[in-house]
Amino acid sequence: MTGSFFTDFITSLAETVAAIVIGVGLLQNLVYLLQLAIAQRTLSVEPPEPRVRTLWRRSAANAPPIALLAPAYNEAATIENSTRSLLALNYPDFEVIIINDGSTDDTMGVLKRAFALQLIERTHDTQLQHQPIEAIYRSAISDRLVVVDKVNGGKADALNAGLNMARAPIVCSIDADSMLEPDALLRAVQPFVEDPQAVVATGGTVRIANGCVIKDGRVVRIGVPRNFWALLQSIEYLRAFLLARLAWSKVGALTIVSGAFGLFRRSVLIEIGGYKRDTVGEDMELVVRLHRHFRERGRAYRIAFVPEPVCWTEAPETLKVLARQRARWHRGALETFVTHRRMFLNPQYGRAGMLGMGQVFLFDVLGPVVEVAGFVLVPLMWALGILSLDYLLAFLAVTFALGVAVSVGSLAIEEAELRRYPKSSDLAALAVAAVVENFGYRQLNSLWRLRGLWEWARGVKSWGEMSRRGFQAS
Amino acid sequence: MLSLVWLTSLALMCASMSVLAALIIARLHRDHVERVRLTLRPKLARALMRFAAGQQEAPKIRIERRVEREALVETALDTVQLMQGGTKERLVAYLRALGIDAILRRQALCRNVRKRVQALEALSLFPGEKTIDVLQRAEASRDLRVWLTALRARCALGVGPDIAGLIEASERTGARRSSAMQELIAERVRTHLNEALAALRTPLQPLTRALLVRALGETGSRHALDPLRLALHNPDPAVRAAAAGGLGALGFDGAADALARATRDSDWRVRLRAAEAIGQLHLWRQAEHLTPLLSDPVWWVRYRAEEALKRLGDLGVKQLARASGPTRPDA
Repeated sequence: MTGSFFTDFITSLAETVAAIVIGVGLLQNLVYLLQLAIAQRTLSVEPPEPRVRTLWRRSAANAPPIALLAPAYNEAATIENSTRSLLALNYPDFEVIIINDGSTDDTMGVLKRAFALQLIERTHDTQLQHQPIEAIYRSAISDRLVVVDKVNGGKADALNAGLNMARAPIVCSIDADSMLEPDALLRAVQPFVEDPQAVVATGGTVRIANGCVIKDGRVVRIGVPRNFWALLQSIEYLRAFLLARLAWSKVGALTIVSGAFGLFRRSVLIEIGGYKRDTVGEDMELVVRLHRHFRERGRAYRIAFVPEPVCWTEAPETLKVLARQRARWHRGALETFVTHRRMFLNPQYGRAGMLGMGQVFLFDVLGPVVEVAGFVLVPLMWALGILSLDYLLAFLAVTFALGVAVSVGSLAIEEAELRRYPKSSDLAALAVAAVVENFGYRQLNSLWRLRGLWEWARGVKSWGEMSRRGFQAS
Repeated sequence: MLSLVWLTSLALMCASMSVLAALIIARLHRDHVERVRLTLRPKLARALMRFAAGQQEAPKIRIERRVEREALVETALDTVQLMQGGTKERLVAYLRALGIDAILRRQALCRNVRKRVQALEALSLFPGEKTIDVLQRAEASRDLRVWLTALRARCALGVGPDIAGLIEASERTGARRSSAMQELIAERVRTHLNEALAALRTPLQPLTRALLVRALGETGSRHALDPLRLALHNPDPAVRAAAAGGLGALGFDGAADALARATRDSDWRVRLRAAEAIGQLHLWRQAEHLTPLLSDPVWWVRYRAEEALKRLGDLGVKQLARASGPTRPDA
């Protein structure tokens, strides 16, 4: 009697867990397929203008001035090239503000030597709080370059200092270790030109620079990474940017503009109090707060994603660093979700609350738990004889097939509409990666995100070490 | 159920593999087409330029294949933009004889927004009833870029609506916030001052009124002075700010007193624009009105007031020196 009850209980528990795992998994894949359809349609109807000259002719006259804010912390290896890349941008009116956030390496020394920095007095806004500024410099080589040397306070703190310092109506936040394509600003600013009143933020695509040939801080030849982990991340980035962000932006529920490359209306950021300083997901938190701010006040606004402007970034090439990065990203997403939980499925916040926060819950809160549970419990149930081998194999087959379909779909969109990778062999390498990443890498990713969940539950606040090799010059 | 799951998995895998194979084959084909296009373009550009300059007879150009047509359209439009006067007319006539205008008219009504916009922009080179008909049909598009480009092309051909018509169209389509639309209206204001003055006497959305007021300032016409002065009393701060900015751009000192009053406006944007205008017009008699702005609660106003005082020369600098206290970063 007891034995039978126990077996029944375990069986029904296993069935419930399996149903939840399969249900959430199917829902996630359904969302992915919808994203794929929306992204495909958007890019086929509105393909980007490939010629910069045409773009310049159309919008240079109306392009607003931009201040590029690049916080730098211990970036001695990359800062010179990144700064050169920023100064070489093709945009009518811009200023580069590098904020040295109390680096303990030679970041400041490299900047001083490379750009002949001279101490200046510069009046600036003081509305946002940040750690004290020790000195402000302007380059004797390029009057577009301003360097702010401040006491360490974290990335968000540095960005707030940059926001105070900026005088342009539009600011562009960029990681100091990233490189923008020369026409990236002109492309990313388009929504601001088309609708200067309503657009408050736009984001561009971030791609992986490992494998590209870099010269003077510019990507001169695009290639796929030779490192296996970086190659898999290339597909992951395509999926995240070309599918997810484009689709969420299209339905008005974009909850993140990458900290590596995003444009914002400065006055709006000042109005909402700038970047939140006690989170590791300051980019996502800012965008969610923008939604909340405008929805609560009933003001019209738009947060857009433009797929063609590209920011190249160095991806981690070791599992250890990659795991740390992903756990941190996940922690940031959870912190944002908890901070703005009021928005979750709350009709007052429109699509941002219903769809935007809904997807954060589905993919970031439930996602890793359910995925790991699925990959651990389903084989376990089979081992215990609760689940038949036929069902186990079918479950695995459909999971992998959906994963491959979504990855291949994102690669197809990239190839059909953007074609950034010029060599056919690069395309073949990406095609292989689109299949391979589903067998092991995605599962590892779920584990890292679970680690992020654990760190968040423990209240970990640190950024962790992110060692960089620096871009290899040709 | 199990069979359905397996079938779905199999179908998805087959579809994925087929897509991958198709992508690689399509890439190889596209690489070939691109090579052909790159070979054709310089040859075409040379031939077209020599023809336009009268150095050779009409070149024989093949446009049977799609890649040839596309290369010709691209090259022709790039080349024609570099030309003016008689050479341009000669080349445009030749392109028309080749049927480029017909290709563009077809492209202007296709589904792809980028191609449509490209074609609509180029169609302003080929005036005529058929072109105007296509432009008007394109204006029925729900896509704002297509609509706006068609409207601009029509204006460039001299058959666009007047200012009242442009305003009505921009309000109807929601394009009034677009910079390109604003530029189009401002352009019309600069060349048709009377239309703008008449439009200002009608009820308008504040943003539209602000746009007209700002554009009036850029005309540099004395006739704009009174309407701008009047606009400084508008209940909407955006209009008042535009009026102050417009008075600065206008370049006449007839509104000095009105600008001085505007430095005390309740809205910081108006104070800011008034300070800028005083500096721009070198209204040194109004320097005393800038001094209180140096302690304005809004940093931007303080910053612009300081800049304006510097533009007023010695007197302004002296005022600035008297007003400056201990150094503060936001002073």
